[in-house]
Parts: sequence; structure tokens; C-alpha cells
Amino acid sequence: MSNVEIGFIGLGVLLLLLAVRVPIAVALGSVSFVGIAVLTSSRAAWGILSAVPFNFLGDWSLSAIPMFLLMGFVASRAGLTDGLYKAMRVVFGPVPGGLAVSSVGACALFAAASGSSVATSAAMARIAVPEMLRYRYEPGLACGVIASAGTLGSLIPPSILLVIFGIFAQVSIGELFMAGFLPGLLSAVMFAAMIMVRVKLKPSLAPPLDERPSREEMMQAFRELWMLPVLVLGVLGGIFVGLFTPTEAGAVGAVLALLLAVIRGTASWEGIRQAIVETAISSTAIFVIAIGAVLFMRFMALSGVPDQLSAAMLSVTDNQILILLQVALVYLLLGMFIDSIGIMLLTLPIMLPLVSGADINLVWFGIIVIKLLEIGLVTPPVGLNVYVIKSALGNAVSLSAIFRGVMWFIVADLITLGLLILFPQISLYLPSLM
Amino acid sequence: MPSHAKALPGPFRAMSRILRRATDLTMVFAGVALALMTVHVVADVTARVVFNSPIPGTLEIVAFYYMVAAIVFPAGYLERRDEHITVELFYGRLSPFGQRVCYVFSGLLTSVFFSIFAYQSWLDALKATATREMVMGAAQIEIWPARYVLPVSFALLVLVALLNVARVFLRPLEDPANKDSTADVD
Repeated sequence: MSNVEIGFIGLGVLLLLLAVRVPIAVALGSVSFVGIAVLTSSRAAWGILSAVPFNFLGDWSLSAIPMFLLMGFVASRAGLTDGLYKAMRVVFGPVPGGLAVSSVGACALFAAASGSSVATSAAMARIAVPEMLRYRYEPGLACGVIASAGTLGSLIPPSILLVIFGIFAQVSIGELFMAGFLPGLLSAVMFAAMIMVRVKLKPSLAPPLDERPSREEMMQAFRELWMLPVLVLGVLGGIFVGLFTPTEAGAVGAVLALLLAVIRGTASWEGIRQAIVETAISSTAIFVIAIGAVLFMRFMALSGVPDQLSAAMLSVTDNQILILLQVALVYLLLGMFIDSIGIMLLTLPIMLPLVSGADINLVWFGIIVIKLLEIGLVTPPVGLNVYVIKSALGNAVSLSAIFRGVMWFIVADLITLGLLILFPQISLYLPSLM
Repeated sequence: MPSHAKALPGPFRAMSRILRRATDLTMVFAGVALALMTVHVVADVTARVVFNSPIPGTLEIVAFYYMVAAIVFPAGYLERRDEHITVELFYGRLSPFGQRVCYVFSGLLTSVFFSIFAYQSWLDALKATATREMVMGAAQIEIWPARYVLPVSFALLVLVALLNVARVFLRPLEDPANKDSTADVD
């Protein structure tokens, strides 16, 4: 049997193991261990197993993951994100589909702080959806907006997915953060524009609010709204001007979030404890998969599967945009079954050799991959974010209604994706200033 | 909890209690490491930006002590609460019996894989101890003690995974996935 054949068999076994709910970390690791042993020798396999985890831990960039997770969990556990929706509503309430547009704004800010799409959707579903339903918004719109706008967390920095991409692609995480900013903003604007156009054309989707915010409410909204932008811009600004590394930015962000919570009067020991436990669990879950992915990268490289695939793809076309479209198809398909961190770590060992072969800018590629992963979070049949909302709301809205509502947002996202592919400057302008 | 479920055997309950305490304890270590890491990094940034004199060895201590403790120690806790990232789509469509079969298979594979890992990292830890392994950075720091976090954490994970598999046979009627397997043992 040739090496490439062994590689493809390994891929097949991997997918089989994933299907029977073997943890992604274990599936990647055990397939790679056996695969490397078959391709070379069991001695080499043990050797790689011994070298990988501890050396990987020594990678300074890796420490950005727990730090940014901590910042996000502290921000939400300490109540910084509590008043966001109400405050946004004062600002965007009067526009067509005001509550839905407010949700986009609140999700974008929440996502920026938390870095996690699923956390954003879960929190916002409980706050915003009941409000929208009370004002007789169409249920598909009410749920769709939260499911979709929740995904903004993957792109708007600081984002955990960008950190992971940076580590594996060996691209500067600071540059990736800067690159994600405008595309994240663009996605949010596209969502808001799509909602307003739809509501203008069909006002019954979202009856207008009959309330005008008082002066008092506006002041209150302002008091809520300054904190998260200060936190996010402080963290990003520090990276942008080169004051600190991403890891340091995360640590500073976590402490800053805590200070803001103290000012706001909502900090508690119990909240801090929960934030730390959640951070440790998430970091470890990511770490074990990442180890599996490093092993898998070695296995794939030895087997020659990525070379084979990239040769096949390049023989069809060497046009960068067409290659990206093929890549996009793969991610959209996988996104239907697997969550984003999993897909990222599963595919990078194969995708990275491919795109560097085609001479594609890795920062730009990273942003496009993340955008694709975002779309994958809401596409049926899995659409993780849709299920998160469903489970947060119980029986109030049917699953198919949510998926129908999400469709419009997927259309908006595909337009954004097209713009990102056609105009690399949207992603690459800010990093070029660093 | 179905009322007809038989009481879990004594040795199993004892083991559950021990592993719950052990994983709780490693979680405390991880949490303390995480908090110290945050404080240390912020102190280093402040010292560098404000006083132009960074704390020597921060990079090495963060990477080889705080990080190792913070993201490896919780391994057993992760297994206990079934917080691994998995693909649920096909599993969710299986019959309860099919789910148990998958769960047991997955638990056994997890045990085998992490046993291999625990064994290899144990050998590495012994070797690092013998040579008093250190890193050369801004400061020389001995890092061999951190090596022991890996075998201990992975061994704990294996024990929890085996306990979870045993539980499926003791309680064939309950859904084993996505919960704390020691929660109802007192």
C-alpha cells in the first residue's frame, strides 16, 4: 500500500470515529499515532508522542487562548454584558426592525468581549428573543438574528478562533486581530441593512415600537455602553500600537474587565470563580484537540495526502479565487456537522499546505476561513448556534422556523464573503498599518 | 434517576468519590495557576511599559509552569463532566442501545490513547528529572517538575473514563453522555 493510500484510509477512519462520538482529540490522536507507526516505525510514533505535547505547551502564543477566554468569561460573569441589549435598544429602537437591529449591535459587542459565538447566542437568546416575540416580531426573524449575529464573535477580535489559526498557520495573531476587525464590522452592517430592507418591504415582520426613550433612559444607556468598547478598543489598541503581545493583551483585558465590573458594582467572588473554572475547562478542551491536530499534521505530512490534494486542485485551476471557492465549499459542508474549533483543527493540516502552494496570503485566508466557519454555525442540519437558541428558548419556537429565519442572514453572509474574497483590502488594510 | 435503579455497588461509589475529589483538587490547582498567570503577566507588562524593566523569566514561567498547570490539570475534570468537543449529530440519532455501545467504545479508546500518553510523558518526566532539565531564556529556570503534571493528569483522565464505562454496565438505562458522571454519588 502506498503512503497516500494509508493517509486516505486514516482520514476515513477518523471520520468514522468522529461519527460515533469519539472526542475529536482522541480520534485525531489515535489515528495519527497508528498512522505514523504504520508509515515509519512504532519507535518514531512514540518519539513524536513524546516530543509534541510539552514543546507545544512552550509556545508563547498558546497562552493567549486562556487569557482571552478568561477576559470573556469575566466580562459576562461579572455582569458587563447584562445591560447591553437594553442600551442598544435606546440607540437603534426607532429604525425599522429596531429590536432586531439592536440585537445585532448587542451581539457584536458581546461577541467582541466574549470571543465565543455559542456563548453570545446563548446569552442573547434569553434576553432579546422574548422581547422581540412580545412585540410580535416574526419568530424566524427574532431567532435568526440572534443565531446569526451571535456568530460575529468568531471574527470580531479578540477571537479564540483567530488565535488558534495564528498558532497553526504561524501567522502573527496581532495582525489577524486587526484583519478581523473590518470584516466583522462589515458582517454586522450587512445584517442590519438586510433587516431594515426586509422590514421596509414587509412591515408585518416587525411592528414598530410605540415608545420614545426618555432623557433618563438615554443617560442610563450611555452608562452601560461605554464599558465594552473601552475594554475591546483598549485591548486591540494596545496590540495595534505594539504596546503588548496578544497574550499580554488578554491578561490586561481580564483585569480591566474585572475593574470595570467593580466600577459597575457587579463583581463577585462567585462570578470570578465560575469564570476561572469555565476558562480552565474550555482551554483544556482546546488544548487536547490541538495536540491531536499537531499529531495529525505530522501524519498527513508523512502520508503526502495534502500534496496530492493540492496538486489535484491546482491542476484544475491556479486562479486564487477559484481555489478559495473550492476551499469554501469544503468548509460549508463540514460546517453542517462539526463545530468551528473542531473543523479548524481538523482541516488546517490539509488546507495550509494547499494555500501556501497557491501563494495565498495567510492572513487573508484566515479571515475567509473564519467567515466560512461562522456561516457553518447556522447552516442546517447541525447549525450549532441554531440549536443553542432552540435549547435556550424551549418550545416557544420550532427548529424549522429558526432555520427559515436564518436563511436570510446566510444570504447576507454569502454577500459579505464574496466581498471579502473579491476585495482582500477589507481584511488586509488595517494590518498593513501596523 | 429511575426509581427501580439498583444502588451502585460500594467499591464503585468509593472510587467515584475519590476521583471526584481528585479532579476537583486538580481543578483548584489549574484555577490558581490561571489567576497567578494573569497577575504575573499584567505585572510584567506594567513593569515593562511603566518602569521599562520587565520581570525576568516571565515567558518561561508562564509557558512551563502556569500554562502547563492551567490547561493540563483539568483533563480529568473534563472527562468527568464529559466536556470534550465531540460530534453529536449521528450519535443523537442512534437508539439508546446504539448510544451505549458508542459511548463504551469511545470511553475505551479514550482510555487506551491517554494511557499511552500518560506512560510516555511519565518516561519523559523521569528523564527530565535525571538531567535536571531547564530552559535558557532571560533567566535559567528548571522546568522538570512541570513535566509530572502530564502523566498525573492523563492518568486521572484514564481512571475517570474507565469509571464512566463501568457505570454504563451498572446503570444501562441512563443516558451516559453530557453530564457529570459522579454527581449523584454521595
